[in-house]
Amino acid sequence: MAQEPFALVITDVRMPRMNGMELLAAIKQRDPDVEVLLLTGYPDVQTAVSAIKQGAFDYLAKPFAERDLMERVAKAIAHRRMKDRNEGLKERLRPGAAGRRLVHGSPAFAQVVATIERTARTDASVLLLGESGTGKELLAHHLHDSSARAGRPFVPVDCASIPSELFESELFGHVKGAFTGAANHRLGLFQLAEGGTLFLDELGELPVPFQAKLLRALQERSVRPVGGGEQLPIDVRIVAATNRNLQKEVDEGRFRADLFYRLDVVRIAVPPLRERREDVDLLAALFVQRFGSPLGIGGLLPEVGAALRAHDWPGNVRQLRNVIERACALGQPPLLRLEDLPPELGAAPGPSAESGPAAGDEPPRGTFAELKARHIAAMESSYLEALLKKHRGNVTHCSEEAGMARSAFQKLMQKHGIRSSDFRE
Amino acid sequence: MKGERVLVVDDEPDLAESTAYFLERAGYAATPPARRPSS
Repeated sequence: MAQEPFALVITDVRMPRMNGMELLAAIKQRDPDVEVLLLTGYPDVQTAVSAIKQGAFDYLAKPFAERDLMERVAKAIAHRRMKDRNEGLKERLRPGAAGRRLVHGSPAFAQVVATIERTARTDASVLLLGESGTGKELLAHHLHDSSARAGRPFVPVDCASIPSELFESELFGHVKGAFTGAANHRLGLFQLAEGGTLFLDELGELPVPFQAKLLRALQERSVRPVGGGEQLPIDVRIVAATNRNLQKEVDEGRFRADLFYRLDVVRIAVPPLRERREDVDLLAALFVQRFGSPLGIGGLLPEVGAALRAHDWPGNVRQLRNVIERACALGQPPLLRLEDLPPELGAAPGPSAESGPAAGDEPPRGTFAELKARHIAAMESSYLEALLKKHRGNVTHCSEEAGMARSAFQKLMQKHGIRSSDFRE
Repeated sequence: MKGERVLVVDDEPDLAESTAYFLERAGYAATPPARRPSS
């Protein structure tokens, strides 16, 4: 254990010499980042809650199906990786750390960050308002990292991606046999966020019937898993975000006023990128470093910087990130050129890396496998965005047109960091 | 994601073995490793 870096420990609860809960405590004391999945032949909700409170990722009743085991293992490993990424993110956001890689050079965004950090000292609910791609999740994470809850989980929930009939089970959990297919107890996201922060992204997508249940859970500070008889106490800070005008949704009866006021304790408006153009250069440099450095691309030509600053960025930072990632995939070292940008940013149509080098051009650098992978990645990303734009973010329609399973389409979207909500009107 | 190291702790050797087998089949590096059938 001390010499081998395990990402995950799967342990039985009942063992003769040291039981699983003791092992869990010992592991967490040595390395809090190691995920622990408990196996038990005697499942009950209290044990599960107790295990989660002590830092277990999840638990599974024995005997278990291979599929259930592998689903939890994949989630635990993904969670571990997310924590690793968060650590890197924290390092990048820390003032003065990692070579001054702060990306809020503009007064507008600096003010938002200052408000976030002041609010982090309290446990007040926070409502982040802003267009898609402005960095609301990053700010929510920064708030969590700056708060006393930093050592506990930060659990993001994309309300737009959960089918309305599954909200209650996803957030509150369910007990074994609660409904067809509920083969085991399952903890909800509230329980997974115990002691930490639950980030409700795309709050405006919350189905009306579930809004009352969420309000009750927040008021009573407890949840009742689907099919369960007892209320389980929760200690979770709520940070919510939306790109919709929630006050209008309230006025028009699509969002409960009492829930809105419950969540709207500290309201923070996140400015769109076009209102903080000073940040474009900093962000572009950050993304070039992230995506270009491994390919030998160290910066961009001055005319590229000018084109980036002149653009209005309707998709905000996420769009800028995607444009730079795509440009790095298609461009050549050492600097990004205007023709590496998509046409809407002012690049003149002509021979591009997508159509291959023009006659007489030097072949692009890299092995065939590297170049092929870059082209495929660029094609996939561009294809997904075009389909999502056409179908206004409707993943089902996109996957049908693509001739792919919906889950495969979503996996591809995840791979490229593309979110359907960015394409909805 | 695959290739991650996973430690399996169970006092029932058969269960530990089958868990390790599932993990290895999915591409994870299980410890202790599943026994391979001798040829």
